[in-house]
Amino acid sequence: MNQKISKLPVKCPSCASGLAVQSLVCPDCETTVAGLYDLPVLLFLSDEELTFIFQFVKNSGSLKQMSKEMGLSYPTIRNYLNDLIEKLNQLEHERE
Amino acid sequence: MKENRNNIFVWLTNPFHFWGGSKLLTAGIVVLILHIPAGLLFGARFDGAIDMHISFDVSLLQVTTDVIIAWLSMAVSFYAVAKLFKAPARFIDIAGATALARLPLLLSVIPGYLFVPDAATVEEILALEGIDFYLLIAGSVIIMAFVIWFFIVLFNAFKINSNLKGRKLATGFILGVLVAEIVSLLLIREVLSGIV
Repeated sequence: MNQKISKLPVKCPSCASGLAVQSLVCPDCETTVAGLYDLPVLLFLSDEELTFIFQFVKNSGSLKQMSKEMGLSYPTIRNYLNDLIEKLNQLEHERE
Repeated sequence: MKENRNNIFVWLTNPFHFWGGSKLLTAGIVVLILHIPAGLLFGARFDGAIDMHISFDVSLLQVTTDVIIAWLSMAVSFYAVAKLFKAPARFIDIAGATALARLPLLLSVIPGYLFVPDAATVEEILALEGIDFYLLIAGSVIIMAFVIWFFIVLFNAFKINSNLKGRKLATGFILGVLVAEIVSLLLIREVLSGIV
């Protein structure tokens, strides 16, 4: 049986602000914990950006190795990383 | 981020998306070397960072000096402008990109040679009529297409290596090209007048 896995929404569909977590449920005993928790910054990134970070860590941060693996030039990979750093800084700044 | 490697349009306008470092520099040097037989065969001079002129009477020394200075002035100028804007550029990438970007300019010698008008002065060109006039217009349009292609590739070479955006990108590119053109024109004249 295929179980459809929903993508975690991170932006409010009404006002586009970042969402927060209000309750967590244990799938075994169904205990619910209520509160107000911020979502990790990484969850605000797209699938492509998360895949890039995954590849970056797997390649020990070697952009040269990543460029070989992905078939893209070193400047392309470096630019993507720089843009990603800028986006993370912006997301962090928004949360402060 | 990941473009399809089979996308011909990306290869023709932005090969730097896929190629960088020593591979790009090697391809660029091949393009630079090809300028020499092309210049001699078609009587073309590359006497400026963004120039190509058909002059028929071209020597090996002239075309070699032209192409080395034209390329280096563009590479150094782009690198300096990128560093001015604090971009994390590597010289090897910029050197390779500016060399490979010259391919459309190199190819423009073919229409330049084929459509050169049978006229030496501006008055003679303005006096052209009939088939000669239409050939001149056709040649100009084809060469213009190659020049536009050259500037698109050159722009992408600067864009990908500087990672600048918006106004900084436009300013940096115009500044880089202008400095390269002025420096190359002065250097080519100075070097050739010192040798010849």
